[in-house]
Amino acid sequence: MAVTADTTTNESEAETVIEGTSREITQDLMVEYTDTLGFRNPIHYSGDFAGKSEYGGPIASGPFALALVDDLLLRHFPRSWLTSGALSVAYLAPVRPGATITGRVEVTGLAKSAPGSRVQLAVSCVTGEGTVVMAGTASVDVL
Amino acid sequence: MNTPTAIPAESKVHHYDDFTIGQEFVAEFELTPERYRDVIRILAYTAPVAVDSEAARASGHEQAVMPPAYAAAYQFVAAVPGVLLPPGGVYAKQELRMQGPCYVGDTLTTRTTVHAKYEKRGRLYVVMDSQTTRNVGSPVIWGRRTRIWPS
Repeated sequence: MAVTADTTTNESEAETVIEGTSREITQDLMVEYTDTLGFRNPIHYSGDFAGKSEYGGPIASGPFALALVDDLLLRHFPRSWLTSGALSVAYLAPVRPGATITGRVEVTGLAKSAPGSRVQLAVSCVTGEGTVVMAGTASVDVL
Repeated sequence: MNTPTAIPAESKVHHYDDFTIGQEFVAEFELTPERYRDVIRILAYTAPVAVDSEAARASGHEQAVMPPAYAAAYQFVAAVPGVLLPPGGVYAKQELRMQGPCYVGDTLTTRTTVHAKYEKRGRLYVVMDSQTTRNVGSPVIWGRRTRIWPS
């Protein structure tokens, strides 16, 4: 079983693993993101503060990893993700400035639901070195 | 880029001991074109429904949608006027349930409740549930975030 936009299919060419483009998380992006929220947490930008923490230096906000998966799901389920999507993730490792991360979504199952079917997914975000920085599950209704 | 929100004079840093189960916070924020442009660029959204109004309308939306992860970001208690957070906290876990799209021009109201707080392996955790609703009354997103709180 595989998934295309807002529908399910049994066609073998459809994707069962969806991998997004990789992106580098820079220190500048980390500061800009905290500025958009109006909450400047020095764990994300201050070498002095973050260097003395258990993380040993600045780390990126969780939403950088979350957004890569959110974007993939929004791309593949442009209608239903926004009305029926569910996501549960744990942040497993810090993302350092300069790290390249990639979002990944894998279809793991299909269950009956009121509108038709509900796709079960495994989601993750991985660094270029292979460290899983975020992982969890998602599900969304499809026709 | 947006400048950080002005901090009210009565703002207070909320430490772990300041939270009680069931405590409620309400925040309101407007989805401005500037915020939309910032989030698309900074978080690198590429999904057509988020970056292209025509594609969004073809999928049944009013216009390009505000990405859910960004609406969820404003469910954080730090978005509540007067609430300051001690530096150094980070996310541990996050759950989201999407309920409906939101768009530039919307004003969103988020009601956040302290669901739990606990200590585990020497770390302090605060769990908060949030419900965000558009000003037209439709629900947007429910979220639960578990955050490691600085001691």
